[in-house]
Amino acid sequence: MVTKQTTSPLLAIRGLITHFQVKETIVKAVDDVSLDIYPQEVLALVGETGCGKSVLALSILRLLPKNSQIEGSIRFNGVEILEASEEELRKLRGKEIGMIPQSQATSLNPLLKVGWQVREVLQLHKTLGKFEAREKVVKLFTRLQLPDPAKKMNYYPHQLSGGMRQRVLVSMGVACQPKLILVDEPTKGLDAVLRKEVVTMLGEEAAENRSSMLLITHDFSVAAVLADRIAVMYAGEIVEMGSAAEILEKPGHPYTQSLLDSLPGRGFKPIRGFSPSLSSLPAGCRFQPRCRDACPDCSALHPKIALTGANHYVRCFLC
Amino acid sequence: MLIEVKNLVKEYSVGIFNKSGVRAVDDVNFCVQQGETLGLVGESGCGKSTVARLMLMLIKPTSGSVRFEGQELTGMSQAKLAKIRREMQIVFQQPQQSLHPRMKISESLAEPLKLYRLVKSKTEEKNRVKQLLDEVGLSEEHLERYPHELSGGQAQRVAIARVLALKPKFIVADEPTSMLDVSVQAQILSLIKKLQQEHTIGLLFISHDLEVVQAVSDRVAVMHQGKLVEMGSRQQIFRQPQHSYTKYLTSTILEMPTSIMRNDVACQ
Repeated sequence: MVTKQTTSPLLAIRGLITHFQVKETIVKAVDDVSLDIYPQEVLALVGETGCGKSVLALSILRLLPKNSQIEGSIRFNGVEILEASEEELRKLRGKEIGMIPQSQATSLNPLLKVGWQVREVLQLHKTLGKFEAREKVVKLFTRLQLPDPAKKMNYYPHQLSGGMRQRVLVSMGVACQPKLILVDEPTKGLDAVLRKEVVTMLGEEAAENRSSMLLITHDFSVAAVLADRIAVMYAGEIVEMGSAAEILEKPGHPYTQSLLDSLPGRGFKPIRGFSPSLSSLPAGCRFQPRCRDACPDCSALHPKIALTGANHYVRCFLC
Repeated sequence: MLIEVKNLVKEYSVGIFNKSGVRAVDDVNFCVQQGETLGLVGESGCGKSTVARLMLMLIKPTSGSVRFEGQELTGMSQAKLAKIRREMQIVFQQPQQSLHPRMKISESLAEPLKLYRLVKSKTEEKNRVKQLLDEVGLSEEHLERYPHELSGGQAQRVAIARVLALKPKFIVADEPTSMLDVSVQAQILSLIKKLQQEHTIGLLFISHDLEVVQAVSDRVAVMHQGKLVEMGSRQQIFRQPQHSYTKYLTSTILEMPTSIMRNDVACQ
């Protein structure tokens, strides 16, 4: 899955496998994933809950629990992350690769003032003094339109509303102007007004810092606004990848089509059945039990991902 | 008229010394007909859920009236309310948290049946539970599980089955899908719509997701800071919003490339 672009990718993932050993069973959270993210590009990773999206992001930062096994290759800016020492990783995390975690309600330390929490990143990586770091935080808060930024530094997370906490998390993620920002479900559970604000804010931050972004979401309308390319993930695998316009207008994989059809504006047609457990995957194509176009071949063989158009990859026999 | 809300007010007092009131719900009027879906939209914290709780008398209104099939609910005794609540039910936002964590799904489903003495024998209870499970698209293997062993979508189906067990005439769905994936959201909403049509249930659908409200509602009411600012048919609200706040709210819908959208497809 190498896209023909003139520059070399910032992040290149090849054959990434992240499995978890839970008692006797093996949970295949990420199974043979390859993808590239180019400088200043936004790649949206779209899929349902439990398909392995967040584990993929955590694999990039090597923030996985002890019962995980990880194979393959993740090269970031020429550095092989899977072979990096803990020391090297610490220099990457937060500085080169920023992360904006999923839940604004639980991702901040409730016992520390928010200004301190953002400052910590800066003092650690940028070796700024306390005073300089404080000024930088005020600047960040101002840019993210947090009202009364100097005062907000001394607030505890519970004193802020959901939207403000989201802004604090974004400011932590982008504080060191990382080359790559991993954003996990930035709009989950937010109301329409806040969702639009967060989406606008993320777009502006990525442009301001000239960062690339891996945007994890289940919401195609968020992906449509922000993403250059979209990768669709199902049961640990990437089933389709291509430019955002291509995926939205001419989806190739039946899963992508069904996912789009379940959007409110597209008729709300539900996909039958449930997504499979990652510890007992169906034989053949993983989407086959729920697929409306499945044929006998689909349950016998596992399809490989193949090129179907200009930089458009689909994992399906029917395309 | 199934349920009618008139001049409904809920005031909370703030502060110990300088007491002042916050009007969470401020003079709200609307009604829901049999078999109709009224969508209630607004930002987080605008008082949508407070309205729902007031309608079911889960909290007492400061003033105003709620009439269910002509009966006044404010000031009614708890015993009488308990009887009426069989006919008016609610589905909450957090499916995992609205089920008892230490009760198996079979027990959770049997509980309302026992409470209202809707079944006479153990065998009848079992049959009814299976029938409910079937109606919401779950299978018997789920009966012996606990809520944490279910996915969010499955747990929400159980919550809906519990509500259906009582054959209600009016259901409040309070953000039933805001924590769910888009695909699961479509499953749950089509289930709610299907059941609503089969049992001609009046539905108050509360959501902050404008696209969802547009797809499921017959009429839409817009709430802002405790007040109803606009109410009208779905077409009126989304095509020709009158109030400035409604205009603002509809402008926050994220634009998808128009070529891929097929508008005006109602939820079937």
